[in-house]
Amino acid sequence: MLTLTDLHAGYDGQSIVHIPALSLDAGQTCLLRGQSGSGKTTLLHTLAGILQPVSGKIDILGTDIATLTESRRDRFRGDNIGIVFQTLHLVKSLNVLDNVLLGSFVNDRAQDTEKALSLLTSAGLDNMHDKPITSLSQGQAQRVAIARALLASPKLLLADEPTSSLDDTAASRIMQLLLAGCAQNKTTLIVSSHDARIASSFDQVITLQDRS
Amino acid sequence: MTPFTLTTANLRFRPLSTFFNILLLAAGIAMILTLGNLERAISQNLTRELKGIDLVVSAKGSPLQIILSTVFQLDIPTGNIPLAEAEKLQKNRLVKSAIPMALGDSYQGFRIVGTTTAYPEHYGAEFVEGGKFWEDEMQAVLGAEVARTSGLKTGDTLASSHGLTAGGDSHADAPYTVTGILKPTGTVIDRLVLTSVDSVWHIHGHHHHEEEEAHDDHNHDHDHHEAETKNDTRELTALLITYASPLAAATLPRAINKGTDMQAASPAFETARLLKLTGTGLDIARAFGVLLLGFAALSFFVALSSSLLERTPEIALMRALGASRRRVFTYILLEGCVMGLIGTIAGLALSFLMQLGLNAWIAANNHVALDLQGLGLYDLTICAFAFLLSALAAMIPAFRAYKIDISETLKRA
Repeated sequence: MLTLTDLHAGYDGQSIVHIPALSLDAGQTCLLRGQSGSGKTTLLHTLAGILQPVSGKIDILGTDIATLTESRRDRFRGDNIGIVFQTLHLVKSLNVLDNVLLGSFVNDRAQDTEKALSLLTSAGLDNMHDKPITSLSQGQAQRVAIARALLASPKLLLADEPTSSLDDTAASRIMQLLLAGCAQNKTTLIVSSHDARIASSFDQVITLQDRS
Repeated sequence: MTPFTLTTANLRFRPLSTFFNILLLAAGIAMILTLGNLERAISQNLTRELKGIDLVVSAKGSPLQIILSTVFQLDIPTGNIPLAEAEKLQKNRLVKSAIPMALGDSYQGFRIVGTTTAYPEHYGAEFVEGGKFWEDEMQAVLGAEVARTSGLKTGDTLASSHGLTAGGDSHADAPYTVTGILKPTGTVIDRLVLTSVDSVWHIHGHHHHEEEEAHDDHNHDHDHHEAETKNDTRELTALLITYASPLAAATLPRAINKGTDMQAASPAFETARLLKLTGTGLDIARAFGVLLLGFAALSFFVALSSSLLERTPEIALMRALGASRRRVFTYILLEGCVMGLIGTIAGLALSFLMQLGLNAWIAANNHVALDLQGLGLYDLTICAFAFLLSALAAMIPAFRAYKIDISETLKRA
């Protein structure tokens, strides 16, 4: 499903992260460990096609995404990759349900409200679909972001520090939600985190070197 | 969710900023539309009242004052002209028709005009059922506005006051009998009391006669009549002239101004001058309206830019979720367009209310109802311009959204 070959990720031609090789099948999970500044977010952005790799190859579902034009890459990402960002990034002016449906909306996909409501229920947010996003706690907002990422049943889900600044209970709930959702859809999951509490949940763990 | 729901959700999320921007645009549009329509209505009203009158002849004085006092019945006349001179002019071969006009009295602030039936007929006046023109002295016909305000009906009497404004000495001893009421014409006729020239002379001749009797105990009827014939002191205020041929325009005014003690004034020329004078004020007000529109556009730009700045992570998020550059550009542009559309509709509604209010105020204070028309090409052009301006103001923030660096933005957020 995902194959990385001699991948250098970074900015302005300067490599920050080097992954010599990585291969993940559908439904497999991988944890990217590393301290803050080790390039976890840069690597995830590169895998998502948001950032072009400095060098190397990213093969997702048989497509070398670095060779796609920007608009095709956007489309590919919208169709195949789900993303949960470190700082949540929900749209404040929209309610909970519309935030879950946002991915479908921007990609002109059918907006499956029933599935969105079901995902919200699984996330413990039943009856909150019409609430303003600003009224949620951080843990609740994180679950909305996960529900949004899972809605389109992506082939690859990238989650950037999903449990940071959450207490043990909330962190465990978030991980359960991610893992269960991905297992259900046979979605390949890559999570970046410096949180040692979650390492045991993954098939593979890659530790990124601290550059400082 | 649709692009429209996303847009309205974003606008509702910043209610104060959205309201202020819409209000600013609406105020600019309303001001420009109201002034434009007002100017057009005034011009149309003036043109309608001037229709068919090529020249006005009155006593020497300001030509503009002559037109204002005799055609529009707004100013004080420059004086009177001798009847003999007026009759001589009426017989001129360059004159097709000349309507006499004798002013001097009023009723409840409405002017009493001594004239012939040609005057109301010139404006296409028709009677309310049962009315007829005067057949004898001291009979009068009321314009629609006079009848409405005074409540007088056919058969009632009215006592005129001396002078053209309310509050003059009453001619209670010589009342007029109302013989008819005219239907509304939308012209100056509506606010006039019309009677024969003889009636006006009668009232003033009557007083002269009494004064003469007080100063002269002798009764010399025969001698007096002879003296009147030889030395006729009767006067008119003005003649409203229609030319017999286009040649008259070139020669008649000059001939009158140089060869007589009378003053010829061209209504078309003087009205154009008047509109130019008032137009300067309107132009300044209109410039203010354009300035408001400019501010509205600037405000749109600032509001959308600051909103974009605040929402940059959200835009980056949408891009990360798969939205193309073109799509986020469209969303921001749509926000500007929706605000522009609401502002334009609000501006139209505000302008409509302002025009209604202004018309009611003018009608109450001057007894003149302006013929304000519905949505016209002018209104649509201004609205289209304002809408395009708001869309244009949204272009720059939209382009910034287009250019956003997703990775950098998401990392910084």
